[in-house]
Amino acid sequence: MKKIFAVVILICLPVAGQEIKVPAGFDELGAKAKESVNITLDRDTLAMAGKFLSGDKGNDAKLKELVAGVRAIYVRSFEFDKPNQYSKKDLDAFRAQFRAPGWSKIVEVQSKEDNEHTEIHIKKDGKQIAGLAIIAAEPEELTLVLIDGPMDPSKLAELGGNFGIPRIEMGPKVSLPKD
Amino acid sequence: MSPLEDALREALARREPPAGFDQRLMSRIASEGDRSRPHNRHTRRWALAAAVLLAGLGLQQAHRQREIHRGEVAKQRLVTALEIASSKLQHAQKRVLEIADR
Amino acid sequence: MNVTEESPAGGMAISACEFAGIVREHQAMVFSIAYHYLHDRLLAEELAQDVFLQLHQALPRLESPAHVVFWLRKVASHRAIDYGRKRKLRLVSLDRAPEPAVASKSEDPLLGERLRKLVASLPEKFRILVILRFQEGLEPDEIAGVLEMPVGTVKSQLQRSLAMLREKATRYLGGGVL
Repeated sequence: MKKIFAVVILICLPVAGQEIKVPAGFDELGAKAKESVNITLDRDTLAMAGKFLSGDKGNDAKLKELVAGVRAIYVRSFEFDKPNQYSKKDLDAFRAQFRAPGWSKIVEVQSKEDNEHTEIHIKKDGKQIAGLAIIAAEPEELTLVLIDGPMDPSKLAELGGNFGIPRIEMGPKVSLPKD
Repeated sequence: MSPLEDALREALARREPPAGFDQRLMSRIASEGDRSRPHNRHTRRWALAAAVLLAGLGLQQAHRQREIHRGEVAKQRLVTALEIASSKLQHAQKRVLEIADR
Repeated sequence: MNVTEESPAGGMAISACEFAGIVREHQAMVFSIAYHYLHDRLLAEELAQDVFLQLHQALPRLESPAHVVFWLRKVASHRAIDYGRKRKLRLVSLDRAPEPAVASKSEDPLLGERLRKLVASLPEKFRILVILRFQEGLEPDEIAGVLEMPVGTVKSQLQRSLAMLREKATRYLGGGVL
């Protein structure tokens, strides 16, 4: 008998004019995780945070510039104490949404040895970046980051580039299609 | 000192408690003073006077404090979100470099 | 561990203004020990208030300003350990109030926060050692006095704490320079 797998959609996150659906199973992962992060920052919260970022001090100014124009940020991150705590089918269903028109996968890194898989997608609105999605899956950790609005992934990556890792270009260059 | 120790010293620098900390403390001392010490009118008068004076100043800050609290919560959540995103991007960058080097 | 101090009968009266001055002088130290240990601003304030309330009772027995500082560090440290045992600490706790702003000299605006979280994730005895060493700048023999531990134990546990932090930094922060 065919097994019917149904993904029950519970959460819809607006990103770049599209509803990104987060499978219900993901939000239940918090109960299984030893560490979890669940952040939703809407436009009002981002505006409030922006007021507390000093525009003229170096570090705050970088953050303020980075999030200028961003409408929302969503983070779901789970760390488990043993592998295979999240559903691969849920993850594949989530990833599939970024094959929709307008989205481009700019980086995909897979390591069979470590069983790690990271994808970075951007949504373009003409020549501008209108959305960013990061999906990082490891055996004992799952992280989803969705950003609705203009966000330069290379500047975001540079934010914490002080750990002995050389500052590098962000993987393959993104070539925006010419109109 | 190693870079880690320098970074720890900076990260663990002392920070002031939320504004109004001393006012709230003095108010508690004024209200709890009689329970734990022998009755001392002189001490109580001064404690109450200090508490009233400080509390008067504190009232003006109460509304502002709430706004600051909300703003700091929002900023902290933003920083945490960007921290996670940045670390994942860096991890991917590192992997790309490792593969390219092979 | 519980630290109790009994107020002597007929203790010397301390003026409120004098005590307020002592509070303002040392509130950052006490609050910071609590905050860096618990990584929770609201709980840290509660703990700091409790410490100063206890100081108000104990002050007549303290002999000098240096004794006050020693007493505060000792009581704040032990209280922090007690508070920490009463609640499950999480590396990231979003429901709590955020940390107070402190200007960062580092080029990386997130490094300090990351390190503070790593420190808050250390086992309790290692955590308080790291705080007393790097927040307060205490030498191992001074830490031993505050925590009532042998100096040798303080030294070896500090080394293990740093090794653990280095390993966590590499694992979670991708660190090389640390």
